Amino acid sequence: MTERSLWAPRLLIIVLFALGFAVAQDVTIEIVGWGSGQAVVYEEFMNQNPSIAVTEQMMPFGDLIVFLKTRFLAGEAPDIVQLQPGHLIEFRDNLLPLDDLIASDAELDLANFVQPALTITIVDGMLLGIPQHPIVSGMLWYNKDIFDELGLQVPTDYDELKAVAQACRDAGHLPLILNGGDAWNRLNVVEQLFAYFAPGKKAQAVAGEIPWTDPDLVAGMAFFETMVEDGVFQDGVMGADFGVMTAFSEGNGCIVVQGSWAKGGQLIGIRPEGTVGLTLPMPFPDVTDSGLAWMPALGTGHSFGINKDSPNIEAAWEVMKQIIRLGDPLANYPVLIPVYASGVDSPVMARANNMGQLEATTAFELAAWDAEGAFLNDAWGFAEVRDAIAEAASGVATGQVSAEVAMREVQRVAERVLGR
Amino acid sequence: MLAGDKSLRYFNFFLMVVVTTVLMLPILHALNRSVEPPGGLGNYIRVLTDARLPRFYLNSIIVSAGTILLTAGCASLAAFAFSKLTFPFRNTLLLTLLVTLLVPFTTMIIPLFVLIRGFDLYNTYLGLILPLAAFGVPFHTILIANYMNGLPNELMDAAYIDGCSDFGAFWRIMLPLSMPVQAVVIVLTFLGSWNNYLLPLILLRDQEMHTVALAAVSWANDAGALSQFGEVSYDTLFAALFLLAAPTLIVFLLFQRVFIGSVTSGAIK
Amino acid sequence: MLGRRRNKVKWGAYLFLLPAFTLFAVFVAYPIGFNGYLSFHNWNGVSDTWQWVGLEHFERMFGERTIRLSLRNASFFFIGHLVNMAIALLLAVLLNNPIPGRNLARTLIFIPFVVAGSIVAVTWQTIYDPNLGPLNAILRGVGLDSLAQNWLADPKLAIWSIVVVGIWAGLGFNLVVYLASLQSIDQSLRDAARVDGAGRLQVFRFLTFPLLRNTHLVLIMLGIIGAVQGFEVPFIMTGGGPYGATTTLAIEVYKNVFNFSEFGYGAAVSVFTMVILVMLILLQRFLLREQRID
Repeated sequence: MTERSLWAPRLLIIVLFALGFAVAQDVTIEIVGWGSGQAVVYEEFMNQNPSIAVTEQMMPFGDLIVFLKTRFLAGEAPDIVQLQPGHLIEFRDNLLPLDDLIASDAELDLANFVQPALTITIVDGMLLGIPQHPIVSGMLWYNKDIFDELGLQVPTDYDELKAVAQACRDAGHLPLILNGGDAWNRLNVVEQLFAYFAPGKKAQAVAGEIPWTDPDLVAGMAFFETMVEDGVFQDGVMGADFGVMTAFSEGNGCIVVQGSWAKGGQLIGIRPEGTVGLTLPMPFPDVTDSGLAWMPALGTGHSFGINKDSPNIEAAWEVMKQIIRLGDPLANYPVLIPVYASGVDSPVMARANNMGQLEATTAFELAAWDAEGAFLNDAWGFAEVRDAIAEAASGVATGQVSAEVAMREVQRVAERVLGR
Repeated sequence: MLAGDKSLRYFNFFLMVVVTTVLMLPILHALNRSVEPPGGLGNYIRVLTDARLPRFYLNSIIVSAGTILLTAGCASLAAFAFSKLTFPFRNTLLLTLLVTLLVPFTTMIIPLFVLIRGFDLYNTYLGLILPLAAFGVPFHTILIANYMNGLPNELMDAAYIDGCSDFGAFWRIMLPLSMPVQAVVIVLTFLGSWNNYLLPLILLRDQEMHTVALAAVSWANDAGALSQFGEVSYDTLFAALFLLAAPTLIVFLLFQRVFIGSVTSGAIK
Repeated sequence: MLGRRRNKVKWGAYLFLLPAFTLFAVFVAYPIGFNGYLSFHNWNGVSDTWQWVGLEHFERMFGERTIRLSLRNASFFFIGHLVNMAIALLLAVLLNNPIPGRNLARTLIFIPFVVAGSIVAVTWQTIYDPNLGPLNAILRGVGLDSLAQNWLADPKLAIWSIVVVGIWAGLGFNLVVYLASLQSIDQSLRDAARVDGAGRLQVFRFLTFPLLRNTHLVLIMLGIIGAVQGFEVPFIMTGGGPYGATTTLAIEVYKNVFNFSEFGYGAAVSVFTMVILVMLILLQRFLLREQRID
């Protein structure tokens, strides 16, 4: 290599330095979201990029949307927002499409993203958010120690599920734990019932191709009431809150519905020794006894978007790349698959004290992401429809309304928002 | 003394103890959870040693103090006028002011935010104090006016005879005589502003401006997140909630003495 | 003669009202106008354009199950408030006697009112938990298994469970207001009545209770306002569920605005809430007209 041939890289370095100094005017990137945040990610980022300060403000999810709305309204919005993918649509006028940024970025390759996860953050053909926490929302977790103690097998059909629930109750444990007071957790179950009773029809109803009053969808909704009446879930399931998850994490529950994110860490082998029995994933049983294979609902818990009016889009993108690269260092969710699949070494691994359990869980989740019939979770089209389904489940489970009437109400809401 | 008073007094005491104990059970339950193992009393020490705590307290103190001054001042002046002065549109104006009590607070967020931004008061104490006071003044106006209605009008006549102006009658007669109800106003305004959650969330940005009510939530978040790693048990949350509620409890206890003292001294005879 | 100056029209009164009304105009009246105007529009909270829809939101509102349930629940909250007032009055009469430790009792009973609503709600949520909570544990412990309930999940029970929380949290306030009023009543009046041979109940029925009239009125009005505006406790404890069984107008506003970005509909529900409140309070003022004893 001659001296001459090196002029280009040298020039490039000089330009980069100049750019670096231009950027070095201390930029602060403000991130607003919910949950516990990921200070670890930003600390490391700031060590590597001293010119960019990252501040993170976390709040309860219920307050986040109004907070962001008002901030966008006032032109005071943060540079980066953390949203549930379903909420991206409400901010489509405020968020920067990320497709071009990724395409023009030398470090990232669109193909390396977990593809189904990516589609969930596409709104009107634009990638508005980077997904985080790929999640298999239709799965269940069971306490293997209790199962062994009571001589139980993992239930695969409804009769077995009922028998397991009864055995658990008899032994003084909570059966299938569902945080029914939380709409998201409730919908995780309803989605699985729709999948078994009306395969593929949920997506059709969301698209407006068939009504929500379709008999198969109604049957799925009706079965939710059957499960409550049969005592499959713990008592008072519709009035439950996060507290009920404590029962599982303290070893007093047999099975828990995915979505128990607050206790997620305990499920995947990073809990303190001896606090929970060995916890393993299991498919949602085939409650129709029709021999259908499990169709898992997949999704992402978070997504990150960039404020299109941010004065510091370049710096914000650097922070976003760090988020993508590091994946999910805090792993609030029992999820191990990184959204950007290129040799990410999750810090979760380092904290784990039960590698066997971790590997079993990872294998289970990877298989779920490849499963035939897998579908995107929490994709209800509109927040109103989502809420209507969750309300319907609540009404049906508490015997206030029949599944037919409840689903008619859903259809009414769907027609209203579609006509808007 | 009438016959039977003694046994009645025993019965009253017994009744009081039973009722109070039953009403205290929920607090005892929470207290019990706050010192649950493995942390025990250490749960409290853990929260107390958090460096952010003093700043959160300070923010809440400034906001509450400002709100109290503004609320009590505006409400007392208005209450005096409504109670003791005759003027056109008195009832109309009172009803107009009462409209505030009919406004669902949650619907006011966006207009309030836009206004506070427009006044360049976003992320300031004053920006929080003004709406808090605006929504507190009408209620306290009724409370004070209702109390002043109970003060004899002859006092006003006497004041006028002594050569007082209207403001003199307010400042020298009615305001001092209304101290018992002012104590209620102060206590209630303190509680209202200290415990308010939605307004600080919308009108403050920086964490160093956050009030205790906001801090309670971040603690809940942290407790939920960290409990996964067994580092902090979920019960630390109860300890934190007790400590965050502590200032209101302490201030209430202090004001309780002033309050009882004023009422029992029989300012109104 | 004496009252003449007092009854003279005082234009200076408006100066006394100025500070309160300045705050009112800026932070209450303008936002109400904002809401009123918004209620005839569609707005997602962010876009620049407001789309005129006329009375559409109001038409929709009257067909909504959740709005009917909100009104029902408001009436339940008000019933709870009346119960609250009754308990508070009885307690106030009790604590107005020279019982040793009564100051301590009053202080303790006031504590729930001092604690932030969110803390109260979280605490009661853990109490009501059907599987892990102390309430059912106590009931089962004393052999009353049949009384153990799904306090927040049973649609018939849930609203009353929340009403109880409201009573618990608000009792101290009502008690203190009643006590202050009781103590402002001349004790010698009651003593005189007692000497004249009136029984305790008679003194209460014919002397104390009527003399507390203004206090009753204020508390009833506050009860109406609180009942129609109920938000924090049901929002935190049940989110208005199950299936709207514990929802309130304010929760419906919150949900529609902040979950569904239906700012226009939320504004319409707010306007409706205000109209209802105004009507109820005018009705209350009409039915329980203040009678001055001169």
